[in-house]
Amino acid sequence: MSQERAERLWEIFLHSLWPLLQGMLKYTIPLSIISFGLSLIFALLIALAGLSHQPYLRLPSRFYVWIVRGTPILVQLFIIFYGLPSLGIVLPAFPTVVIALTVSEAAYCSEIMRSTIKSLPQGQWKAGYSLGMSPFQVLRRVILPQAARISIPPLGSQFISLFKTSSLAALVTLPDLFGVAKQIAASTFEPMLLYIVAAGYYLAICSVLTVLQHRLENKFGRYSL
Amino acid sequence: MLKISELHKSFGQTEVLRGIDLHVAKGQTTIVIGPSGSGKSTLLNCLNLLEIPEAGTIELDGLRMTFGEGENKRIRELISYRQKTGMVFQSHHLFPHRTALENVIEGLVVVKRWNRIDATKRGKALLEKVGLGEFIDRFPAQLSGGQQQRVGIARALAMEPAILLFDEPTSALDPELVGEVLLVMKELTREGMTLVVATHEMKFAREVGDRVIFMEKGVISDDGNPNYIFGESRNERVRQFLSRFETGNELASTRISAN
Repeated sequence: MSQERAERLWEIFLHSLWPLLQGMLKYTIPLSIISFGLSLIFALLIALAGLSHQPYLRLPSRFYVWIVRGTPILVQLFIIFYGLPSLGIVLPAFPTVVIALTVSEAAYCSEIMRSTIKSLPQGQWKAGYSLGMSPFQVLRRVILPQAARISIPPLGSQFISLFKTSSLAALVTLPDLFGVAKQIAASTFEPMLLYIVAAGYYLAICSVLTVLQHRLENKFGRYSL
Repeated sequence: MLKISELHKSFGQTEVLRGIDLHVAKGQTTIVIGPSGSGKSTLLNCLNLLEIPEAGTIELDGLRMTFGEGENKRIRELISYRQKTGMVFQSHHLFPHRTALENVIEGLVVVKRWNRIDATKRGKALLEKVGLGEFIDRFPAQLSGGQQQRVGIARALAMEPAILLFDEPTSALDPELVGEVLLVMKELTREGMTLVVATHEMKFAREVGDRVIFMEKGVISDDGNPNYIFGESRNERVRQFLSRFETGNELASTRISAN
């Protein structure tokens, strides 16, 4: 590699750091946090419906999970962004990505929640009922606190995966971390450099998330010695 | 004070309770014995309405519940009935995410809406009573099996139930831990609590029981005071069953070997 080229690459590298960071702070992180927060709420409702004895709650829940898990999120995203306008529904890119990520994430998270709630011994319900608790009280005081603890590791990796999936935002024109990298790569003709910088940012954040996840696990795990 | 009549319960095709009639007087300790699968556990679960009987009536302390076709119980009714009964499970079912004290006061705080200070006071007193005053802040996983079971008893007592049900409370314990649990139960009978205890501890049954009922294949096939059941019963099945507990019941075994 000539010294001239090395200098040019170094220059592009330095100049790309801040725009990429901006893309991450303005889009990648907010998209991930908002979508994950919303998806946890929906996931809990979908999981509870999926566990219900009532078919009119359980069947729609199972149907939803089936559809969402059986189709690629990229296709779902394109249906919302490029498909819905033909029905007269035009959504800006940011909400589109939030909706697509939430819809998909809620399905996966609900399956995690459903299986952890199911994995708790029946005796825990019995113990709650025997004290005269209502089903809702048993759920809130006995089942969910325990299920939350068990589901932290899988939900944590779900969030890490969501953080990376948010890069699909670039495909519906948002200048997120990946989107900015794409733009600069196109204008400088240095895709290798730019995508490696982008990968470095994703890796850095995911590493931090992994550490946080372990902390959370330890905090909630204190009763199971 | 507890009257049940014509109680029936099936799981799928299997009829587990086939018409149970039983009256329990206040302050009485009723011991339920019988082979595994005889329906002891199901009977206790029905008495706490953790299982809903298909037919029959249960009357506890003036609250009468009738079961049968078209008698769908509303959850409110079940809850108010369950609050009158306490249950101690074979495998304790303590809440693993709460300390001993939190386990005991959970019902008081959540169901009876006591404030935390009063509930804590009562919880501490109850744990003291079952000999666990020093362990109030331990989590269940940090306690021995016998200690866990005693927390379970304190948790049930906290709700001041009219009747306390024990579903084989010592069957899951190491032999050396059985005594401490039975001691607490004995103390309760002395205080005049009304107990119904399913157990395989025949020595305990003889010493503490006011009355022993023998269950087999979903019916009560013999019923009497301990002297009668362990000594005089002419019921062949009872004597066969008791002969398996030779160390716990020398009397019955000598009678059988004498035959």
